[in-house]
Amino acid sequence: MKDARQELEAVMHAGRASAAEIREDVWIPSVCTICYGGCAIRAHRVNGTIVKIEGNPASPTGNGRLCAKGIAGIMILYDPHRLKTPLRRTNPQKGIGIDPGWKPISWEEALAETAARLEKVRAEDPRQLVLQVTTTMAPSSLLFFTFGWAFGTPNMWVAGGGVHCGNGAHAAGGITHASWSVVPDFKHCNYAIYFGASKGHGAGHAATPNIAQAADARERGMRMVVVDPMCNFAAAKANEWVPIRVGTDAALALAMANCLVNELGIYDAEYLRTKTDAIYLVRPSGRYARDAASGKPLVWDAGAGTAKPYDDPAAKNAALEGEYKVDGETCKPAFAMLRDHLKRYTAEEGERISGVPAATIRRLAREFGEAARVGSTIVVDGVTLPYRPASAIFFRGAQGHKNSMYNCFAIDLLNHIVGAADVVGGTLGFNPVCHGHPESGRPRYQPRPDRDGLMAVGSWMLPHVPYPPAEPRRPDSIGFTELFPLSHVSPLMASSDQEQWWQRFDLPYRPKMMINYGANSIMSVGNKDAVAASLKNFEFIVSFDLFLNEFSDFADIVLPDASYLEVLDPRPNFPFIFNHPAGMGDWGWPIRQPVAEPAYERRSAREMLLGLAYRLGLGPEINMAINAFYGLDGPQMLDPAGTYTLEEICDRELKHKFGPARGLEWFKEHGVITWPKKAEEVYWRPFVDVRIPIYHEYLMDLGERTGKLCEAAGMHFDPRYYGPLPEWLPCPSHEVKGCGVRPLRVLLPGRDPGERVHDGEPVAGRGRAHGPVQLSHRPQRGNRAAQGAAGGRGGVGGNLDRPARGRAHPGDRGHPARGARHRRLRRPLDRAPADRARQGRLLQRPARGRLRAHEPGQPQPRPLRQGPADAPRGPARRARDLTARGRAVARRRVTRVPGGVGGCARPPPTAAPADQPAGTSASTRSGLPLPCRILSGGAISTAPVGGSRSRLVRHCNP
Amino acid sequence: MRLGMVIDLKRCMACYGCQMSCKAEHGTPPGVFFARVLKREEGHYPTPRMLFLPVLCNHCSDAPCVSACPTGASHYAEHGIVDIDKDKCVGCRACMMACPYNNRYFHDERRYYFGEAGPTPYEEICSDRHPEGVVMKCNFCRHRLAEGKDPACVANCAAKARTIGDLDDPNSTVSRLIKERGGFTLHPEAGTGPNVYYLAP
Repeated sequence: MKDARQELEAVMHAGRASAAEIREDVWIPSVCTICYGGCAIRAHRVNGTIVKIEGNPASPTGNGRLCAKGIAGIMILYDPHRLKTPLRRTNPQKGIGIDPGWKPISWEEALAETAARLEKVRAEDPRQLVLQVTTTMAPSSLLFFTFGWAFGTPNMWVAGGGVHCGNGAHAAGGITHASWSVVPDFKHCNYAIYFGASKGHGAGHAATPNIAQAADARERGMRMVVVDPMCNFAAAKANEWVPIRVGTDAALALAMANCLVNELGIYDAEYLRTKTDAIYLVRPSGRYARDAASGKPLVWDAGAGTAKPYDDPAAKNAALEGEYKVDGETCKPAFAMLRDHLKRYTAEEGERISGVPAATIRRLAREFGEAARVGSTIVVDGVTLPYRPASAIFFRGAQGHKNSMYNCFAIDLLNHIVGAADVVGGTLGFNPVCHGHPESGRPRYQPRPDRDGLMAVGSWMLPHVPYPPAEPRRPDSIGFTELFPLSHVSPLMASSDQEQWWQRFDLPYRPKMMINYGANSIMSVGNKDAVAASLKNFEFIVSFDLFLNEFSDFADIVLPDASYLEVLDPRPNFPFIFNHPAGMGDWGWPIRQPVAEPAYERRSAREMLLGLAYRLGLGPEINMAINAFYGLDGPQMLDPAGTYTLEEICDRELKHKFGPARGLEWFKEHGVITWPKKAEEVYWRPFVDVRIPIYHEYLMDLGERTGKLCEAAGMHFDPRYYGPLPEWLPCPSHEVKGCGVRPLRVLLPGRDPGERVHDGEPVAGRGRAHGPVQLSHRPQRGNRAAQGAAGGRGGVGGNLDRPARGRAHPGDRGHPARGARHRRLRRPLDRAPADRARQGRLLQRPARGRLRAHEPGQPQPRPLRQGPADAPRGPARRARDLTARGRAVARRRVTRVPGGVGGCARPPPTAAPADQPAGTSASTRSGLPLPCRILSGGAISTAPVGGSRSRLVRHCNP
Repeated sequence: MRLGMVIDLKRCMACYGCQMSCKAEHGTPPGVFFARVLKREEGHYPTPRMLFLPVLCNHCSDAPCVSACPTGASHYAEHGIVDIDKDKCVGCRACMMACPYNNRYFHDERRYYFGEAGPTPYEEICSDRHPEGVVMKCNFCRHRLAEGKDPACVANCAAKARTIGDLDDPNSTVSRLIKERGGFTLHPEAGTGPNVYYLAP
């Protein structure tokens, strides 16, 4: 028996080299980039090796805690499959799965060729260059945007999020909250409705810091309602889950708004008068009535009986209701227009469209309206503020549809009706107001009014702000953002019809060269074949990446990037509108700094782009672009004629914001600077004299002008999306006939393709499969039979989820049992959970295995446990698991939608694109499970997910 | 002093941070999770439920694994922590059969996350802690406790749902929480006297 002291020492040193060997043992503060949340971290380095990543306790975006993905970041750093040297293609033929024949080259060769290509492009037309970046890098993409500006190309986009990412949520958030996204005021909110959002559940902006706040709110008793087609993670922790038909959030929200204003009469008249355009008079044409002299919108001063400009002091009591004669026209206040508009959205109409029962809609509206306590106030930090402890938030689920903007506007309207916007307990933007560090006064920004008194953001991540929208004009960029100024991501960046539209709009150039920074657009944009076709048109593609991936199949040169743990960034969270937790607390500005030296030939893409700019003679341009990006002025401004290193630029940015004593050296040591938030910053709405539109008049002008340009070029334009009041408009989910419950059709041994098979029906199988069909919502990783036949581990005791371990040869990274394409598509998820965030490889989803714990993003490894406790494992156990779950799931007719977690309550009423891995597997009770998946329209295939198209059953949609 | 943990299911947000922080702290091989989160779907549309249950070794007061161990490898360490002396473990796995909670793992062979590519530098360091042929499990991060820190899963819990403390002290936070909120243990019928308590969601 060891004595206690010895044992304690052994325990103390467990997990590290013995004390004598420790040469280095440091914790280095930095910032995570596994997702765009960018939480502050600190990395534990022992003898040069990172052994642990934790949340940085010194930062309000770290708090010493970190989500599962962030902790796993070590595995990106040390992933043996990372690129090691620059590679050049030898096979000129490009296509998914076609071996580029990579040949290692030196950085000098790679940069020389890239620079030569860039020079040629710039001489011809700089707009021929396209830059694309991945989402996780977007909040800190200094040298991405600045390089594009310096080079002179408008063609830059965040391809990592695909074409569905944020076009509605961010624009609506910007227009009504001056913020990239919205969140309930967890500290004070008593009633929160989440429309397709997971704020506080380990996802989205400020992912980890929000968890603690949401937990506090939950413990305090905040009632949480989750509106979502899926009973997802947020719904699991909610008081109520409201299942809804996909894409009908606007119908539900508008019906609730109708109940509030027209049935219950609950609205905050004071807020509507002073903080919105509800009092602006609207002419029969739908436009604001404007003052002839100043052009300012008019409001009706009931006391004086005349119309006055909105900023007239008498506007405080302006009419919200009624009809008034102005310049011979009968005008109505915008609020009256809204009330009339909402009358169409009765609770019954809401039920018809969304599937949410009318009684539920009325109850939710009443609960929300009563929880808002219109008229109440509260004292926070000695400041008396409006108290509206109710919040309706939206995010990806509500906005990822054709009707995206209106969905978000309609949901946010609930907040504005009860005055619960950026006040205590209501819906908060992600920090739209910051008064700056007490010593330097920087960074300082707040929303400001435009000429109509409506709010323009104080800080924004992209060059073009959501409001006021730019004048639509003939497109100059390949994505047509000039034509659709509210959008920030365009499908034309990688669509199959792009050439047609470029021709129609006489685009005077074609994209020829691309610099890709970590994005994998083949996987992140919906249709891989269309993206592949568009990528083939590029003459030259340079890709900075961590791994070879699907996108690499189209790159000419692949450059090994340094990972987020190996690079420097003075502003990793685009402060503070993107990721910083809302609500009271501290401000925290962390920097990202290298915690490990890049190994092999890996180099930071930022430094390479900066070097390329100087090499191309774009020094003055890039220096001025960086000045503009960071707002550098005074002594910290970069001299246009100078040449700077990334460290020098970071140093200047930090000194500019926090004074000369706090440069890069200070930040490298401290990692983060914090100072307390003020109530006036967090609950800014009463203190900033701006209004937000509940009547979006500007959309009409925008629609008219955009429509004219579109029609001139023969592009179909739907003006319904440019009405001033939010509507529910059907998205493709609802244009499909016969939505609702469909019989499932399945390809099973002994059955014809497309023949109906119902849950529990006996199937006489060929081979090993026989017994009653069980339906489960879990996609299987591969076809057992195919695996077994090819020599993979497909046996009874094996685990489908487990990667095969053998290798064909040392250079082969994948499964010997599968084809080359499979290898490439499957390996990453099998091996490295964390790299998905950066790489966006999503074709394969890991099976969410049996009722055993699993590491998020990791396949289920073969169980290590053995013995009697595990006796039922094997076919019987598997069948039992699948059976219990499968029966329940099948009865609920659950389909799994891509990108989601858990089951959804009913099949999405749409036909999903055929190549999407909507998953459902059928299994037999007594035999082996048959891996299947639901195809569009309810057809089922037994082909491996992501397998060849020829194996899929034809569509059998009735 | 009897060390115990309280997991507040009302605060747990199912982020799996405990599972991964434990993994990173101990550097366990693929497939081994001393702390893990069980996920389960229950009920039928329109009232299905998703349940998440974070579990770990219960450090039972009357641990069947300790009595089952023929070599004394499974033992009570300080404050009632149940730990395994790797030097004494012969890998017979009697403890695994005895444990009603399935919270023990047998390390049969060395495995790395990237398979044939070999261990990463991180795994090279970690794998030395885990000899083959022995049983492994949660030890309440004794090495962290000895340094005055909370176990990794407690320290990292973003929802602050986990609390560790002295169950013998009626005034400790854990005792107070169990009393006020009606803390319960898993499988009390097994009669093992678990020291990990849960608070209802």
